[in-house]
Amino acid sequence: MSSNDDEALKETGAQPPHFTQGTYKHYPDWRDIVELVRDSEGREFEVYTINGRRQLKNGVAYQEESITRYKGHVETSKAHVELRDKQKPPQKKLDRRSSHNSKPKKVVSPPGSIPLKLAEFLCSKKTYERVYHPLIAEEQQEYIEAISKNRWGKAKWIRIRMIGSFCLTTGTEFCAFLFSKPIEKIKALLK
Amino acid sequence: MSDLPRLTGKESLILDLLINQAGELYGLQMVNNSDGKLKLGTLYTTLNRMEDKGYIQSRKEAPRPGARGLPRRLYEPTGLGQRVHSAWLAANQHWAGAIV
Repeated sequence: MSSNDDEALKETGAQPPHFTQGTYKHYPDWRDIVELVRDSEGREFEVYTINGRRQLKNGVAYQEESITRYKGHVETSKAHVELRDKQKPPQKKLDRRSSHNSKPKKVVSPPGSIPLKLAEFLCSKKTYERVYHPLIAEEQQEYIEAISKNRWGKAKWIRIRMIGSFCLTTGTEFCAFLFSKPIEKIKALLK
Repeated sequence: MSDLPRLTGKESLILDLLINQAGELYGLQMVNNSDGKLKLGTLYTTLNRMEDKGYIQSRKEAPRPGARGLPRRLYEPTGLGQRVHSAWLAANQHWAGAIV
């Protein structure tokens, strides 16, 4: 970019502006000291010391008392600096997650839907319809009733009880599955 | 001998609750009315077995307007269930008297 600038200056025959060192100014909200410099026409520009290097706002290197490479939008950066000088409070980004109303609503499945799906997958249709479905259905109804009365403690207890009942029912059904056939065989032998 | 209907203690208790209630009950009502004798975890397995034996019959609750969640299952005793239960009670009384 610098070579292009040089070429452009050569083509137009214009001279790069000459800067004289000015006064130092400290902006309290800036960590770096801003140096005010003047060009040959008396316009004021600001030079920053960023990471130990002195440069204009747009990143052009400032060499002691003159800037060899000049870019037209230096003034824009000055305007920006002036705005910072007035110490306008930075606008806070609106964090939508922090406000209660704008919380993204989560779609929550009713309690017992996962055990029900598991039972539907593992058990026969008859067992599902007669054993697991009524168990979960009744607990769900109780849960909804507790929530509608704002009894959150009871609702939590119902959830825990539901898991316990589901496990106990599964255990009973598993035992029945294991021992029903041998018992039937023994009965047939006894006849 | 093997063709005779059999009734376990839990089954008789469930039949007792259903007959005395003179209406349909769902599982949790039976648990609440049994004074802790019935547990929710084993109740539905017993009810399933009783339905297989023909002592009780069940149906899904009709969906109410504005109701959420799955429909409950309601249970009621069959004629066979009532007869078996009364026979079981009579036998119980007979044996109790014999022991005393």
